[in-house]
Amino acid sequence: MFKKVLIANRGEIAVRVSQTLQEMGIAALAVYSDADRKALHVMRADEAVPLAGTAPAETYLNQAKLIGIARKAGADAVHPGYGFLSENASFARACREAGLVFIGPQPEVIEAMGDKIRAKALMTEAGVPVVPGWKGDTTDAAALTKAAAKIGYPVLLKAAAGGGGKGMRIVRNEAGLAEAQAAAAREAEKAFGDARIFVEKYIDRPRHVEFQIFGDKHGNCVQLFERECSIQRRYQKIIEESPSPALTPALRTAMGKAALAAARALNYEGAGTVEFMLAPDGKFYFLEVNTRLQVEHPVTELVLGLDLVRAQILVAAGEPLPFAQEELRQRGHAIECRLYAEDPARSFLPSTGRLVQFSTPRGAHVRVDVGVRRGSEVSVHYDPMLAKLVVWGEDREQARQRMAWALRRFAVLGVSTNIEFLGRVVEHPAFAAGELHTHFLDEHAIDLKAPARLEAAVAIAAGLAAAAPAGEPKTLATAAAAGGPWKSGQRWRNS
Amino acid sequence: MATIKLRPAAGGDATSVSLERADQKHGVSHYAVIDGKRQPVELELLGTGEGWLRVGGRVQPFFCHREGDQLQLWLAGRVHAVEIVHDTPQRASAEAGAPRSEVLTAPMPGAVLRVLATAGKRFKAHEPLVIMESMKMELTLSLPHAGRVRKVACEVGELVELGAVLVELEEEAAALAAAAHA
Repeated sequence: MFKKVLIANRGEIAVRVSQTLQEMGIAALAVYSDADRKALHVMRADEAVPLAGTAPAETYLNQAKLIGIARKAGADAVHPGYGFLSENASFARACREAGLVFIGPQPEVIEAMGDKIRAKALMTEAGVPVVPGWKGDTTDAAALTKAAAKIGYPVLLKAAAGGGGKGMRIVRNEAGLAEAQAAAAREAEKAFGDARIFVEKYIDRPRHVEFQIFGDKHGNCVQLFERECSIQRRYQKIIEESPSPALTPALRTAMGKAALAAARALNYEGAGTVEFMLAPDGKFYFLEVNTRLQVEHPVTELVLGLDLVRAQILVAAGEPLPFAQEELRQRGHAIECRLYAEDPARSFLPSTGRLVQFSTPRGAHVRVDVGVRRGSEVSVHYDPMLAKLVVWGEDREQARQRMAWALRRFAVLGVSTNIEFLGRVVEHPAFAAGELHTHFLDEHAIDLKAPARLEAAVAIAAGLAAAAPAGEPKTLATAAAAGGPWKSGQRWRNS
Repeated sequence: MATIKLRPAAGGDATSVSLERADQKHGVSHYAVIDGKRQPVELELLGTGEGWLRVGGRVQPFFCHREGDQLQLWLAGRVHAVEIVHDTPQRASAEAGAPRSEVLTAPMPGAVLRVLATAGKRFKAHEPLVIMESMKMELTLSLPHAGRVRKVACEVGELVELGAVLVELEEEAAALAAAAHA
């Protein structure tokens, strides 16, 4: 087994990976940018090495620096987490060449799945259903127009190298195609350095349902059931759950088979996810394979009672999968909410600042994966996700109620967050009924208007806060004794 | 007796609050007078921005953070933005609910992709004025109210900082408010 593993990441996932490494008796080696000098993931590791600089390109994306640090510190392996270099085939290769184990699938698989067009072709060959679309890709508007007409509107334009919703546009008729293509190409060029756009049939009100796959170096492959991730904003998931309320046992079996066929076709090693779009008519289509651990992996862990990071490490070290298909059973229901430093009232723009308060809920079957704590600085440099709140319940309704309970007890001050917004979604009747699809948030206006009057309790607490000088322990009695505003009979002015 | 006036920061009605110390009997530490209504409460500020209060049989923890006249308060699962109101109006727009902007600023650092505003142009509420690109996303910037452009203060391709002024507006709102007070 490995003695030391470098975690090429930051935030909550670096903290999460550290935990499992330490449980297994493996030293967790953290790296940090200048901005992350005091970050939680640094404090939680056994050893931490600076990556001089702040911008991702010179730090968490700097392959040479990371490999240099790993070798110098005597690490045997690298865990890339998600994002950053996790789906970078050249990094996986560079690790291998430097004598380090890359904890993830084979570089060839990462490469094949990173090219969405090649991925679709491979999946078609493996018998996995794919969305009707045009397999060519082009920067030429005329060819795109022709292809779109053939598929039939509405169509979806996607960046060939894409992901995360960047370079995506829905086009409902030919008149809008040229401008949408220009904008999508611009975004794709900036995000991926590749302006190629391809086009496919657009499916209205689809669900996003993905299957966790796992393979080892001995040819064993399993699928670990589904996660439904239909609640999204800006093409990014914010609430995920398992099982999916939409799957009948028959549909679960069919989709699981397709996911396993994908895994087998790739001879998959390690953790991966096969993403599907599930249409309202029950037809499902392959979207892509994510060749890494997913942000939402905890819902699978809670429903199956497994540690997926441990399985990743075992498989990377050459051991056989620690579970067999027939042993895997879904039990109960898990829901995850992603907590972001963002302002839902201002189209979810990231919010930056210092977390003056960060108080997480604790209780039965409540898990909080955090990457920050009180006093942490949320900067513009990195992803603004603060934490993942994950709950388990015996059934969906119990899990949903538990999530609502936990969200009401998660207190963050200093930046705007989506906590209250998530609470509104979880308590929405359509969410409670399991009527989910990827345009849920556009379809159901979530009211976030602040009341026009302060409630009594708010007024009292705010009055107290307004009266007390900041930053020192104060009861009203001492505030009054100090000649504060509450001293009866004294006119108070805020200077 | 000292009274503080507070208002939701997003605009709305002001509430007056004052507290008198009680004699600490039967779980009553204070009497709160809110808009003239007096009620017994128990409360404590524990420092580090934490506290708790008991109002009408319910004990609730809270967190607060103050910067100048702006308070952020977490209570019962919600974050409330509260403003301390002074009797001498600090701004002409103080009583008018949501204040109108006099400038359009960059909500994040990024690059200016397109400028749709031109000097003298009248625009409607939510009409796109500038398109920025930040964190590899395109952001269309507009204002929640109508107005008129006085001056465009940015150009296509320019890299701007958070809060940079992109467009200056005619101060019609301010002018109207001043006229109303005259």
